[in-house]
Amino acid sequence: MTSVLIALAALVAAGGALAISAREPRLAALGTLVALLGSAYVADPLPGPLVLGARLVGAVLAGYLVWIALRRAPAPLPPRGIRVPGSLAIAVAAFSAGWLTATTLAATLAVGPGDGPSTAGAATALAAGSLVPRAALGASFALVVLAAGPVLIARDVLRLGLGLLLLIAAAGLAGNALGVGGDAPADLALAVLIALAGAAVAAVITGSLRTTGELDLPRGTDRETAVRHRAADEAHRRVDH
Amino acid sequence: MQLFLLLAVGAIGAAVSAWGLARDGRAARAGAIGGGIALLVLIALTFTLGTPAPRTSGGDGSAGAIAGGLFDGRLVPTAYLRLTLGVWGLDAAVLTCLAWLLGGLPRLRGVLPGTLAAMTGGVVVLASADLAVGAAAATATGLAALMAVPPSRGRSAVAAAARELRLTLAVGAVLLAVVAVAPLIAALTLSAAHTTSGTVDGGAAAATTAGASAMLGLAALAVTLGVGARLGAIPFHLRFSRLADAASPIDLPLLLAWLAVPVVVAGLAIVDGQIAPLALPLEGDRVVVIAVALVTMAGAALAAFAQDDLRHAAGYLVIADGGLVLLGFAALDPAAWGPARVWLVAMAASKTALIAWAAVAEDRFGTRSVPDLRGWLRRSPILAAGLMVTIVATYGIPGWVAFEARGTLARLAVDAPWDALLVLAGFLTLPTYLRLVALGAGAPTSKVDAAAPERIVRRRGEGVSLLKETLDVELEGPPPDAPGGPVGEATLDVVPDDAVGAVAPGRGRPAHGPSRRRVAAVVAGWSHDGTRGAGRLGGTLRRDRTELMAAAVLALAILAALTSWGALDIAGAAAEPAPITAGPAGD
Repeated sequence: MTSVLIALAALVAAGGALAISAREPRLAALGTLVALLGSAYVADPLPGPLVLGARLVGAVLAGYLVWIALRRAPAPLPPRGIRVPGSLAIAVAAFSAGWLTATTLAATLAVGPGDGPSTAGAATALAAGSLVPRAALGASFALVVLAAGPVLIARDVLRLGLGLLLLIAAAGLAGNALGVGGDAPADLALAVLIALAGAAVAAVITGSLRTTGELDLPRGTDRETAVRHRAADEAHRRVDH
Repeated sequence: MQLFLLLAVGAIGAAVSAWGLARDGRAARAGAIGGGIALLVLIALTFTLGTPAPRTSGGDGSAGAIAGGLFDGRLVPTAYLRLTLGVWGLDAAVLTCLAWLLGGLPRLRGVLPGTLAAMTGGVVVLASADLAVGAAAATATGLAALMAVPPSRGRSAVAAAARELRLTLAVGAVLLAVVAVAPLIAALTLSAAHTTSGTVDGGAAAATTAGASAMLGLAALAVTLGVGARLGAIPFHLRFSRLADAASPIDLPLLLAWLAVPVVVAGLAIVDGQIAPLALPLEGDRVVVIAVALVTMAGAALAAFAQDDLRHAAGYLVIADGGLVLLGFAALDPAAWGPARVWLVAMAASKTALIAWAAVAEDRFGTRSVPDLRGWLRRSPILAAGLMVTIVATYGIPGWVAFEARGTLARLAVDAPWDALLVLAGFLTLPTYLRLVALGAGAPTSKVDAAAPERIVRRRGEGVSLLKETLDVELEGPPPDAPGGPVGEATLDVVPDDAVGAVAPGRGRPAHGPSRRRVAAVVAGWSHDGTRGAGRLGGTLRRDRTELMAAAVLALAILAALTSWGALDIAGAAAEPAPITAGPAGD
């Protein structure tokens, strides 16, 4: 089971790489869906069926809304940023960094607090030596690094939206790796958030396609109502009729 | 059960109003009525919300869990929830009326569903007993901004919606990540500190403590800067100006003031619940936050004073007051929990009144240019009273909770005498308010002169003549840019003169061309409401539109003043330990 979950974490990272670099918009959306779906399951212990079902529904709904929003999207997208091999390389490097960080944390936790305050509750599985939290943190690192570019230097609404969804997935993975775990309400809230975030991303993509016919983020302030800056004495004088 | 009803009514109301108001005709009316009823029910439910569940104290005397509520104590009603939601709901009700007066149903498209959705999310945040749930709900609440700035409204709206989306989800990811990581780092810090004091390898443990402390400091800084970005703190302030240009002025109270409330509450809970109790030496991080707060207060106050654009000036005034909220984070002291939450609600209420004043002034005088507003006060005594009360509500009076919160936050953030500097920085916005008042007392500009003075017209004959004239103008055909389509905002803004005032009977001044277009534009907006069915009430509302709008601003200002004063013991409610910091009963 552990090896399956580690492979799933790798698949999550690969999905993230696809999301930010694929030139076909729907392929990018598919990569995001894989990342969102997989991020719920890379946990030790696995949450209950209700939580997993909710996360599945939330992720599928988010992915579906983005998918249908891209019906009229121009394809393929103009070459911009890194390509798929480059993003995969970045994902591998970030995944390794996350894995190593988790290993270091696990080693620190293994030393034990002696008779001091306990770390019980937080990162229990990591402290117990499980490899799944390490994979989860690796995938989380990979998604954060991959999403950083499109989010910080947003040039089109598709990459921006997908990058933001990846960030939410990364936060969920960090919770799986280091959190208390087994917190069903938190997982349910995350499922609702992912669904709403997907709807919001889809709305922005649809609005952009309807307004401009493309996915590029409009630049400039584009003020619809100009207000000229001027001194008070330049204002309209009173006119007596 | 009441909490569940709150959530259900809010969610259904938001969905119904969003669906209906996105359409025209009957669907729009149904959406508006449905949303309005949901808002009123929400307010009623809020004020009748049951007494907060009694807290069960821990055996060691510490704060214990809270019993009752929804989902095994995961959502618990509190007095702060009741008061915050009550003020928010009342503000929203007045704003909804104001929006309808400003431009009919098209103006409700953003404010009504957006407010209902945000209030629903706010209920979850304020009632949450789980930090992760609170952070997720606060993030989801921020997405309501997209209902107020629908990306289908134009290029600038797409850009504004994308910025809101980025801010909301990026800040949400930061909050969720900190909630996940902070307990582990805190535990490591505590255990290493304990080892340091013992005999086992003190050097390595000290290094671990320092490393973990630094990471916790970074986590607190990330949360604070995320909240600061939502509040528009410098250097994240440009978003406010662009948002003010892209959104309808009546949607700005939600976008600039109220949507920040859930995020700030969740952020405060994370910092005060997970980091502040450790009492770590995080002086460097505190200095950064204090510097950001100080620069925000001073810089935004200066920008507001220098701005000639009314919307931008109002936006900068909101930003300056938001700087005070950051002091609650800089304190890194659970004692800041109460004052910060008091100031948060008082700020949202007072800024709502301010932005509503700016929206009404812009509509009445047909300009966003501050110099063009010279003489506004002479023509608008009720509106002037609204601004005056807003100023009082903003600063408060010694003894009022908002005034005390300013001082307390400054004292908790820095020691004397530097706290005086922070208190002073909080008053740097005063010259901007004085500028608006002084400008209003000057000789009226032609734009101000062309607008009608405020006076209630009660004689039937005059009202009929006014209605007749407005309908005549409507029959001439609405202007090509009249609201009715998806875009109604810019057209209303650029058409000068007040609709009703330009044809006010007894004034002996014929309506100018732009005034006629203005009337037609407003009537075109109202025509969505089914004007015939509205009958005499509708006629009265149209006839007294100017006064009613000013009265709405005054009502918002009075509400803000009551909040600032501390009505209904808001200070006590804000200071109570929230379930989000105490944990659920089930734990």
